[in-house]
Amino acid sequence: MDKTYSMDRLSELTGYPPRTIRFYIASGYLPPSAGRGRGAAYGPDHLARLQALRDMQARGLRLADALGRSPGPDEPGLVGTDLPIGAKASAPALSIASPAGTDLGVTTKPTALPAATRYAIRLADGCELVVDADFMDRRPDAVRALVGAAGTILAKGVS
Amino acid sequence: MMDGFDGMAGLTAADTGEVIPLLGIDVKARVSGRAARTMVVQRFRNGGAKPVEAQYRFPLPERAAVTGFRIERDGRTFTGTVSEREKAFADYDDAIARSDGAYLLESERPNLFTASVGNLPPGAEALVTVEYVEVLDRGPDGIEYVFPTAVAERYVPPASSWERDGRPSADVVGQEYAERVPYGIRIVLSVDGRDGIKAITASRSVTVDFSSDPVTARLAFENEAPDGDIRFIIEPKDGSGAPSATALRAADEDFLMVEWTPPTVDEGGGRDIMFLLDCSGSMQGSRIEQAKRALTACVAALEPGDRFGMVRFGSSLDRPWAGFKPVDDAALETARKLIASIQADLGGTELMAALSEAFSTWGQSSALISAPGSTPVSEAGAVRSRSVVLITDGEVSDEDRIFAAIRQERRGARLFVAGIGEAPNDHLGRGCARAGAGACEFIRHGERIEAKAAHLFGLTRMTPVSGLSIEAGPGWVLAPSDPAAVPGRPLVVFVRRIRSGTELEVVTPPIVELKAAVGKRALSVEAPVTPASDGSALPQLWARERVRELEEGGTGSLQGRSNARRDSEIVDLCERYGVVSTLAAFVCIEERAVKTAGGDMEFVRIPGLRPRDECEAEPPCAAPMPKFAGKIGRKRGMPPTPSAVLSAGVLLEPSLSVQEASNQSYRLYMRASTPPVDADPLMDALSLQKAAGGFGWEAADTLWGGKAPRPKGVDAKDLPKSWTTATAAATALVLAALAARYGSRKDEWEPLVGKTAKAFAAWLSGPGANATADGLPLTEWAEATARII
Repeated sequence: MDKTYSMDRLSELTGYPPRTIRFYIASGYLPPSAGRGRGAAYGPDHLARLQALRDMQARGLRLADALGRSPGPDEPGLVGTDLPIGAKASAPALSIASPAGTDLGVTTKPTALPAATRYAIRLADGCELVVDADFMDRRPDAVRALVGAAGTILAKGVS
Repeated sequence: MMDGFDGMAGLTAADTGEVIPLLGIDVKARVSGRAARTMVVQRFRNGGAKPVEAQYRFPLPERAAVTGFRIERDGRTFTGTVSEREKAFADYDDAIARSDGAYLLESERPNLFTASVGNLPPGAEALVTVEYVEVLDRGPDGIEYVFPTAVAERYVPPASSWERDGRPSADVVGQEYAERVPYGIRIVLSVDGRDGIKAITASRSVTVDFSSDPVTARLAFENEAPDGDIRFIIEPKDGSGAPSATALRAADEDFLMVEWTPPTVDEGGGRDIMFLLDCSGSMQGSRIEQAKRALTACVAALEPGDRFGMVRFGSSLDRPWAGFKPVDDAALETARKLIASIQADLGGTELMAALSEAFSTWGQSSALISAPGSTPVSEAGAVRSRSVVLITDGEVSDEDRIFAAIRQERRGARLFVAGIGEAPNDHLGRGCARAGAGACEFIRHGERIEAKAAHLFGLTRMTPVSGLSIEAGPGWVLAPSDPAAVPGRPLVVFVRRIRSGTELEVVTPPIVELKAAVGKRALSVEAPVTPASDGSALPQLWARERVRELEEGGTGSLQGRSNARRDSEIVDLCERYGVVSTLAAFVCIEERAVKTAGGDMEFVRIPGLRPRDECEAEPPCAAPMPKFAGKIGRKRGMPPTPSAVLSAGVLLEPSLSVQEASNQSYRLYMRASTPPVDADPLMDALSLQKAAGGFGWEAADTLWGGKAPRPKGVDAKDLPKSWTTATAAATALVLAALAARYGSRKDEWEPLVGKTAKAFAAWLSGPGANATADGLPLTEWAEATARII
């Protein structure tokens, strides 16, 4: 049987307060727990996904649309790590351009191994490109080119 | 009891078939002077087959001190208590685990709240009452009561996309939108003091009953759509700005509320003004056109000796020239041309970067600033005031960072904000004004930008009021601790004193003395103290103001406290006075004799409407979608599974987005189609004001919409520098025409023609006293001519 964690323990291991953990469950990002309240039990999957989330936050990535939210006003559809004006480019900047020149969505694939992050880049409805984080770090241009080429193929067909 | 809700039950969300468990919102408010107490009753009903946990995000005024949370269910009433937020949540969650009913009221931002109704059994109904108190604004037209009903989408800057607690900011400040919602809003306002009220008007159809005291004003429609701010103006018979104070003596504490309108004094001296114009995509259409007109007229109203600069911003910045330009006719002409060419084409709203850029114009010359927030004085001793005038429709999620940046970077400049939109983020606007020791005006749907921008511009002329102190005796604690007094803007300060054992007999002072400095002149006024009425919320208002200051990083003695110490002080205040903040929430538990299963519960987020100045548009089939003008709205539904992430990515290409709109339940939203921008002769004429004051015939012709009548002969001597006899006649005619024809828009032109009016009046009362046109005294000729259409 899988190991289980109490809410307090899960909170301690991940650094997220219980309210935040319940928020992710209500949002569908985490599976439901066994029971609710202080006595509820959580599994390894909860821990893994929350740690992946921590990792993502530490990398300055956004989760905007992972929770099904629509883009805000004047906001690109979904953002990887586009830097704000004036921000120091200390982290490697990643901005994946679609054929239309706008940013494509990037987010963590939460089913990945706990500490490893993958990006799922949605190319079209039902079609995603999955990239390991370290590949993304090493070859951002290659990823950008792949997405660009895929966009052209999906829009115009294979010539 | 809650009448008027009949016939609203069982409605389902448009298109989805899912039952939305919120049926209606009933608002009852009591207004007495500037104090208001509001009760918001939300009626929840579970029309489904499973128990429901419903979550409803809604706006309240940012000044609201939320003081009450009550639940009525099955004829029983339950009262909530305030606890530290995590603890409140744990109690809520535990209650659900025990199969009790649980209710939670949290504050995500000072003006954005989430109500959670946990474990509502099928068929059950709950009335959730949220009670708050506030001190209302007094504007030029009267006392303003605003009830916000919609949350506009807020831009989440990439640099601050997570909350402190690890939730994504986008979800914390965001709202799910539906095209229609089954719940409507009903508002009844009771206003005390009938004899002092001239009229009550509102931004929606309203019926006002003056036959009773208090006077009641109610929305004419029982189910007003929750799609923007609903605004009432209570026009008093006499609008006195005299200082006053109200006192409340509690068990071992005294409270005071002090009101004062600092005087508007124009001591002259040069101005430095930075104009900061939002050119993000959402400004496209009439917003940018009106803003440009307002800006051009403001620039033309600058006086010799002033200097000005400009920054336009979106996701990037554009600065047409470095530093400041001194005001002369050539500079004004350059600015006019430049503003005319401006377009709203700069993408998103990076407000913080724009403000930093504007403030940086004053360089690092700390030698000019004696202390943070004080008036910058040059070494020569001449006062040169610094102002930033910001025109924006930006809604951003990281208010606290912006406030902190303003405080840190403003270099003694005052910040004046004109915020555009039907559902403005009042926390952002007011907070910017607080941090920038300036003022904020909201321009809602259908209002003109020009009037508010001109008013704010007029304030930049006024000599700053500094060093405000309130002398009420020893031991009084002010909230805010370092109140910013803005000339002409009503100010409210709350004061508390804890009485120690030996002081129990100390009486409330009969008067409170306010001291301040206007420029170099010391000022002292006395406010008579009157006792507060029974049930006064002064303690809660004081606590809320104190908490706000702590939340925003504090000024004066509150500055620089460590986070942990600050947080615990906030929680203590909230628990002690029973008010909500972002760190303390209301929780209410309904213990049930018969436990209903909480396990298989459906979680429902209740959607809201978009503000009424945004509406659903036809999918842009033919013309490509302007890059940032469109918005994607997603239908409410259960939260997607993790595999459904990234849903919006494909919508970025217009052709694909149309496809999406038909295949899935996506809708494309755009701003309401903007009406063609009418020509506006008034603003156009004001834009032609000369650097040294005065108008030429060009301006008069613009007002006339053709050739304005010229006198055959003018006799005018000893004219002001750079004036000709034609300038004198044209100026006389323009000023007369403004008064005769544009009386209803006086609030727009009056703050802008100061230099001309001054120069003209000075000349007329001196060397120009005998000036004539066509044999008549010049002003008589002008007045007579202005009446001829």
